[in-house]
Amino acid sequence: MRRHLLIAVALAAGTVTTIWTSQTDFGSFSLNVAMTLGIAGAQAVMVAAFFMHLLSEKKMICCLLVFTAFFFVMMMGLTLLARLPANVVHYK
Amino acid sequence: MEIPHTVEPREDTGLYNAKVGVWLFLASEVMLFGALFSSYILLRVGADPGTWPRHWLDYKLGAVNTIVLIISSVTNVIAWANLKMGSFRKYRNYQALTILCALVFLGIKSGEYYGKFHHYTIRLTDGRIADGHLQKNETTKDKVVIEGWWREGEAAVMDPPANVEEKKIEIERGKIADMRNYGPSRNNFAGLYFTMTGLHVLHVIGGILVIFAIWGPLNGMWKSDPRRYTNRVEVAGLFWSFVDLVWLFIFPTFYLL
Amino acid sequence: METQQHDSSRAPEGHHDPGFWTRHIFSTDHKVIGMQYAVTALFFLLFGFFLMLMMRWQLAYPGHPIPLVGKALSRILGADMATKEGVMSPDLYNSFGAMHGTIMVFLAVVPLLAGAFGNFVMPLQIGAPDMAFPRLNMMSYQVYFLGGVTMFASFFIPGGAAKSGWTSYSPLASVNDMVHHPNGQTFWLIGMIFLITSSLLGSINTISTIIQLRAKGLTWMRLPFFVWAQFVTGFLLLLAFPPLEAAGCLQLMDNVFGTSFFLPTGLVVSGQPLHVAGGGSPLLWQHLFWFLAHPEVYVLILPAMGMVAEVIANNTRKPLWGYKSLVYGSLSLGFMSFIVWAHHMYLTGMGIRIATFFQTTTMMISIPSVVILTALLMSLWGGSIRLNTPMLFAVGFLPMFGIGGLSGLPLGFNASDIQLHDSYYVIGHFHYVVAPGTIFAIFAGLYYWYPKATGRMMNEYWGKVHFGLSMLFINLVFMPMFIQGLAGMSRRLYDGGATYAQAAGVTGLSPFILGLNKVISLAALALALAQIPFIINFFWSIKHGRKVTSDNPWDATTLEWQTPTPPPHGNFDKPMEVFRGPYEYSVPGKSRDFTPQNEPEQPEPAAHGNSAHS
Repeated sequence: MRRHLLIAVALAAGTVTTIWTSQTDFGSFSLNVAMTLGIAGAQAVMVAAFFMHLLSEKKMICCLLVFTAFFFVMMMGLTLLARLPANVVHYK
Repeated sequence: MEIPHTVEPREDTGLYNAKVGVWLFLASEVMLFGALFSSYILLRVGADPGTWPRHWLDYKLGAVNTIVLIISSVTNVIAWANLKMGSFRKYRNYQALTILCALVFLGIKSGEYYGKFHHYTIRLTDGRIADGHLQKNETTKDKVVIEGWWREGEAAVMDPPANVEEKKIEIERGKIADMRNYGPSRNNFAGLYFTMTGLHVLHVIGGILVIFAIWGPLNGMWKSDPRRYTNRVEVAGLFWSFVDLVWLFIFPTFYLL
Repeated sequence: METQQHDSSRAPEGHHDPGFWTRHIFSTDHKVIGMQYAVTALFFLLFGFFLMLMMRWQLAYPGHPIPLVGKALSRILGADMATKEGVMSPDLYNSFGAMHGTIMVFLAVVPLLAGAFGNFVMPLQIGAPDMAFPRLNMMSYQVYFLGGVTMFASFFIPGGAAKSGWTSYSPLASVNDMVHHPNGQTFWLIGMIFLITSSLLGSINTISTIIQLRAKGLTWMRLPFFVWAQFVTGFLLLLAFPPLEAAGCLQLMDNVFGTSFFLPTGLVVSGQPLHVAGGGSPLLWQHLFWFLAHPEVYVLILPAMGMVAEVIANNTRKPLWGYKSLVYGSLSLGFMSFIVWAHHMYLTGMGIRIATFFQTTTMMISIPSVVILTALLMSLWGGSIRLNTPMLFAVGFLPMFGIGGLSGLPLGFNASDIQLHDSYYVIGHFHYVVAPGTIFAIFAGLYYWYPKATGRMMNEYWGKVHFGLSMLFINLVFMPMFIQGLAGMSRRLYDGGATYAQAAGVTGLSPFILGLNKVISLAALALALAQIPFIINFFWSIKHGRKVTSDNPWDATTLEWQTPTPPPHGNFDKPMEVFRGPYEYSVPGKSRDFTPQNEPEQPEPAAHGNSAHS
């Protein structure tokens, strides 16, 4: 129970931090995006590992999630990569 | 007729049926929300410069909602843990907190939606742009009254400056060239905001209805089959944590970046 | 107590009779639900066939009134859909085309494969008393039914059914009918959301059941291949459908709430700029759609291969050749099916590197396909082949799927696809895999498992007639399409390619190519007539078919044949225990040429005679 409360506090702290990182200027916007989403990702991992007890979960469930993550990354990544290339050559 | 492994875990998998079922369901939900997030990224990256708004949402309200959901998630897990240790009373109290937090979340969200539908950008015939919340009691068929700001140009509409004092603005209807609110058809950001938070809200409602049903009308099963009841609470709790997890991504994506 | 015929839906002893509604409409018994799916899906199969027959008439005789039903069309659907004489309008042609595809894929074939056969046979084959979540099972049928009603109803609303292809590409899907609200496309999207939900619930059930409810001793590598096929199919449905559900929600928002997720800036429709915010991406729809629709085609073929495998093993009286390669082939097929989708989008102008990636994965995925087909083919070698009706369909499936699969190769290569994309070649290719492919496998399954469900055999003579005529005419329907496609005939053309003929002699379609339209349409009509013996046989045999003399009329080894006929609620009268693999046929030293999976190992008593063959 104590552990759950600690995680909740960590999550709340993450939320506050992410507000700060998104509002501070670090130079490049991409870095902002990376940091903000990185914190969100860390929060997600904490929720999954502790509130959804994935850390102690059986292998089968973890296997399923690894495959799901792979397909999700493929869906997102390949869709983004398939955009029209910027340097299209026009033939006269 | 008994379905095996409803309560007793199966030896080789170590799992009971509903746990397998709910994780499969959550995997499909990852793909569902993942597809929406992918759409967001594609549309945003592909948007012409200056057409994707920022700071259209009140991050403070969003942060409160985030904390509220985190609290509800932790009370939900603690409720289940108490139930597993045999204490129905503590489970009942903590789960009541979960339900309460969910209602707070829904309340804040409704307020946000209401605000967006009553927030207008008015382009006047002389080229000026006004932007603010409609004051219904003062608006007549001749004039529109909003509480808001004059905006310097399109860029200020797309990325409004922060901390500027609101003031009352009256506009004759005859001078209005275009008046549109911040609903889903405003642009793709607004569309995605309403679609994704809307879908999330549907999941919140669904989740809390299930948690409530198990907590309230269906809690007789605690007497007749406590282990099965505890499993039900666990499975509903896994779904609820997932709903929280999705919001942890929605909040920074829409409210912060 | 019970009458002589075991009623599968009667409640177990000691319970009150649940009554008509609980037994037949609101049943949670997987066998009843399986039959509900079968009846509904077969109805949609016939309906989809009927839509296509009307389209084929229009292609063969463009502008001529449709015989028999033409005048009724106009009266039922309105004057903008068909003229008073009964000539189909281009809009009606397009909506029949879009709905034929949608109905065949989502309302007929997949519900038959996963909902009907998956539900009825799989729990029996793993020795389970029912699915893991019986009430969820009932819900998934009911949501499917709702989706079907929505799709069917869309024909009768003002504006008619969806008419932007089963692929519903934006922006056409959003701008095709801007007059009616709601329109057929809206109904299509809502219907799809129902169907996808039903599929998701069903696949959760299927996978959980296979993981958790296998009988004692039934290890993974002792599973019948049909169960493996359903297992992989379940994952395809589970993980590939949600992006289409997301896309459906987004397109629904576009159509109903004025968003522009898929509508680009500056879109002009009929000379008028469209009043939307713009900034959307039509390609996004295509990516999300095909992310599902490619794994969907493996959903269409894997359970079919599973059924064919069961029938072949049983009717060759020997184990399947290469069981392990079948299993690993299916697993790798399922995995790779998620990363090939953009081979449907070669002409959208994606970068060369990405196109090459998809081309490579597409070529790779043909390998497990061929492995599976080869294993099934090799299973025939040295077999004691019994050519009953299910076996005829199963063996017929093999070359048909071969043609379908091989004809896909030029489509998988980017370069050759430029010529063949959106031509009749594509239609020939995918119909070969699904129509003489999957549907033949479905017929094999229906004839094969019919005696388990009803306690009677279907008539063998008419079954063979059904097979022979179907085989002949289905090839006459789809083979000419390859020729038409190679000649350049485009798909989805209301006039059968006649427009191109105006440029005959320069770049047109020759009279021979156009004449093939008549051949195909006549063959389609003959194919329809060839189904009549099947339909009559199916219903007649329920009451008048030859009664089986044993619970295992085919002398099969798998567990579904170890139940009473038809199986009662709870399926097995004692817990099943499995001692061997699924295809122990013709094992040397045994007195019978098959050993059921659950028969305990024991020394053969000397006096044991051969089993009585029915």
